[in-house]
Amino acid sequence: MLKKHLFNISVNLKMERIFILVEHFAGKIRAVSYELVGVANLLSSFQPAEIKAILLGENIENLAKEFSEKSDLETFAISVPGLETYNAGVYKEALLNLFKEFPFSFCLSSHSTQGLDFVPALAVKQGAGCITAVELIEEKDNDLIYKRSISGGKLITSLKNKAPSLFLTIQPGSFKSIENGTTFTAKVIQRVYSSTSSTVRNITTKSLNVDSSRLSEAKVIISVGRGIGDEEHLELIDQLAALFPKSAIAGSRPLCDLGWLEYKQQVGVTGATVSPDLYLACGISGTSQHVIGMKGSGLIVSINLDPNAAINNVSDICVVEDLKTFIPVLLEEHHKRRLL
Amino acid sequence: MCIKEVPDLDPEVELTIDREKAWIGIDENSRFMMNRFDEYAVEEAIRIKENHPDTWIDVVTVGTERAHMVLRRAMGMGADHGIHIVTSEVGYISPFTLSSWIAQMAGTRNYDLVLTGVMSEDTMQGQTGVMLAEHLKIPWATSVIKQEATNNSVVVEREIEGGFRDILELELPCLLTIQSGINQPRYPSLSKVLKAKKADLETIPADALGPEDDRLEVIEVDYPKKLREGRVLEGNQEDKARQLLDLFVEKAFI
Repeated sequence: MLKKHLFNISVNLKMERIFILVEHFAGKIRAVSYELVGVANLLSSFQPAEIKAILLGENIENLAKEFSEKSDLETFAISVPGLETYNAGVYKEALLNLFKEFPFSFCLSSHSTQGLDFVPALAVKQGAGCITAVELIEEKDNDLIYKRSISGGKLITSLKNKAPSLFLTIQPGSFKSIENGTTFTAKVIQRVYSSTSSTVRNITTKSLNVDSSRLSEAKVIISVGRGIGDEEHLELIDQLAALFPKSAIAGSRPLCDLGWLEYKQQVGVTGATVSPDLYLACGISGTSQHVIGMKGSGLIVSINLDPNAAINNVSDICVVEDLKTFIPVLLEEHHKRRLL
Repeated sequence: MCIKEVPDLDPEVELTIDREKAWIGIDENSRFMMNRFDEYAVEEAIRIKENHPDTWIDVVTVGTERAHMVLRRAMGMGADHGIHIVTSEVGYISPFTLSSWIAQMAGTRNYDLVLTGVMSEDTMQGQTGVMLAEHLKIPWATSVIKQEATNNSVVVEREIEGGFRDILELELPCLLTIQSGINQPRYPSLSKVLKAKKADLETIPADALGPEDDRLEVIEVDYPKKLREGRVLEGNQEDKARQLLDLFVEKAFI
């Protein structure tokens, strides 16, 4: 009888484990890694869990110490000789090796070009679930629900995991960072892993020397998206921008891909993050990749033909019009006022 | 080449929700197109073929009967052969399932290079390519913005955050997920379109490739919550222009 009782207690006290994969680039920890700690805290409030962080790289101890000091988490520093920059195959191998020893219920990483590059492969190997670009986590009927955008941000799906463990890539800026300047005593667990992966060779990392300082200094940003239709209509955007002192012209990725704007003018995940006093979004649909780069702006005004465009969900003011006919009217009305 | 048919996100087409199926609503007004990221991948494959004329391009899609249209479009652009893994029902299919079906098809065909879009415009998960590489046990690179393939290897630039690019060399066979902007996809040529229209497609019933992996379940699709007020200006264009100018003056922007 007593034995059974004790057994039940031990089952109830079974601790889950949550891993945080800390992203770093050029010797710096990416800020989103501290948002992952916020997510881990949220998950462990639903189901008690011990939270541990992992950093991989060559000579990674100092960064691991820094992360542990700021997060108060026990942190694995996995030194991999020769791993100067991120490499998918090496990350996969080294992590699988660690997971053999330390099973987990959740493994969190950033929804970034790095997280997306290796996490889906790990999920296949681990027989785990994998949900990318998670923006919200809720409890519903004793189950955890993960919410993410689809169809360019026009719809949001709620997913449930049925696998024994789960990888999540977390949309940067969606959860609160735990970093607040407090430092704790570092708890670093040092490990060395020698990789045998050789099918992908890192040659170098190059900088495109993208100078987006003009965007970060602008008080007003006129931003243009696919709704512009033709390159010749960009003239309208130039004229609109001329109304505002200290303004700059920016755009969404498709226009940069077309070569109509320069990549240094791109706002969003793979471009600049801006927060002007006024963000005037012209013909921008508002995919989550774009919204991340501008949602901190002061006043957001959208001009878009589509009343259901996702950009309207982050806008203060919506003008449901075709920018090609509306901007000339706006310029004309402004001109009239100046003549009065 | 792995491509996908996705619902058109053009403003004139309203996106609806099928509550019962917990997925995007499909009705007679729905319009479909090739996932734009996949168009870049198709174009890149065709450019490789132009540089290496002995290249053969298979293009594969998973979807309902309707999806043969995107295969024919890719063939109109220059792909050689279309393979259609046919599903019976519209709805969410997890990347685990998609990648495992495509891997079963590709397993014995020994492709040197597999290209996919970096993600699909509808589900935006960015997982299927990497999972497919893992199933096929070949190396991969994601978010590729430039590539140069030789007979044994491919050198790629992959776009990462903050205006940086990682330059990698991968041994063949390998898989690349293609980022937008790598090229300007061509329009299908009329002669190729006519040929593609009549071409025999290879069809494989998805049922023959095993059951769906049920690791994930979509329990609901909904419209997103508004993060800001989103006040819609009323009136004609002149009225709206005046309201906007009043606001800009009030806030001292102009």
